[in-house]
Amino acid sequence: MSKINLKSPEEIRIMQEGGQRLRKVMQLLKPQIKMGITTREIDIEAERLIKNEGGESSFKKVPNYHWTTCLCINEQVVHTPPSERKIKEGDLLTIDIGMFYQGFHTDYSDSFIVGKNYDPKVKHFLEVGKNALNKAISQAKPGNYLGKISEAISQEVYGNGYFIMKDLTGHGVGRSLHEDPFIPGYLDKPVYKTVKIKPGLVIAIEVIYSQGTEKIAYEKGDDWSIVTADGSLSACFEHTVAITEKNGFILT
Amino acid sequence: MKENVIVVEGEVIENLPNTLFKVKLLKTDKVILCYLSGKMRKNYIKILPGDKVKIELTQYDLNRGRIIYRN
Repeated sequence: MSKINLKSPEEIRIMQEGGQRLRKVMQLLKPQIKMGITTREIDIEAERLIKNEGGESSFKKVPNYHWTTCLCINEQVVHTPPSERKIKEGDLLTIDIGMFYQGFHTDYSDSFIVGKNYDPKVKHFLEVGKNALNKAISQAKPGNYLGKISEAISQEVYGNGYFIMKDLTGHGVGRSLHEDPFIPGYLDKPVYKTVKIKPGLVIAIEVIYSQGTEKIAYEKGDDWSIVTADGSLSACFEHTVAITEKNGFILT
Repeated sequence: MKENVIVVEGEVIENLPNTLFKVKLLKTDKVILCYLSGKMRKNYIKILPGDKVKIELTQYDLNRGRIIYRN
């Protein structure tokens, strides 16, 4: 295992400030998403909002990624760059957004249904993801194992008959957007062999799951975009969580 | 030590030979094949169709389960 960068309380305070601003960006962005808007337009708006809050786009700092957000519709799984694809009523949209604020990144994503006409099954699908993330976050305490977080996610998702995307994981955040440790949504080794959670650790816990498969495929003609192998719906819920001496709390 | 098992609830719909059971999962309506855990077999816990049971699954095969508790 390579080195994990622990953050000082002062650094966590800056990240908290950044996280709150990022949350505000998301709250301002959401009402603007309507049917017929292209994901490119959302991206431009997101960048404007982030600049207003005094931050910079995190994702633009990722090599070869030139956009502020990842906007995934229905079967698209994270890392989808904005495009000319128009949003239709009842589409499941995942917004993944990151802000670089005073030297630190924060990462946040949310999924929701556009419009009011939707399938109750999709609603249930989203509820499961939210519950899984909440359960995972409640496991983020000092002294606990990272594996407990993975276990909480996988139990909730598999228990409801959905699938974890095994190739995509949560990650540490800080001075760079993706740091060690990586947090898979499933257990790849026994819990007691995973890393212990220490105060100062800041991680982005991601629940990336789909309705029908754990396999991903790459979308044609695109270096970034990933789709589910069978075209079933996929969503992602993510929060940046900091661990302090006493407990873990959500930054975003 | 058992690691990463998923506990779900289901309803028994059919008794099969060799103490195998067909169980319908309450949350997903999926029907899976289950066997009785050793502890339950040792204590002669009888399972009948219609019983609500707790099942352990693993992520490696979601079509098989182990019955661990009769409600």
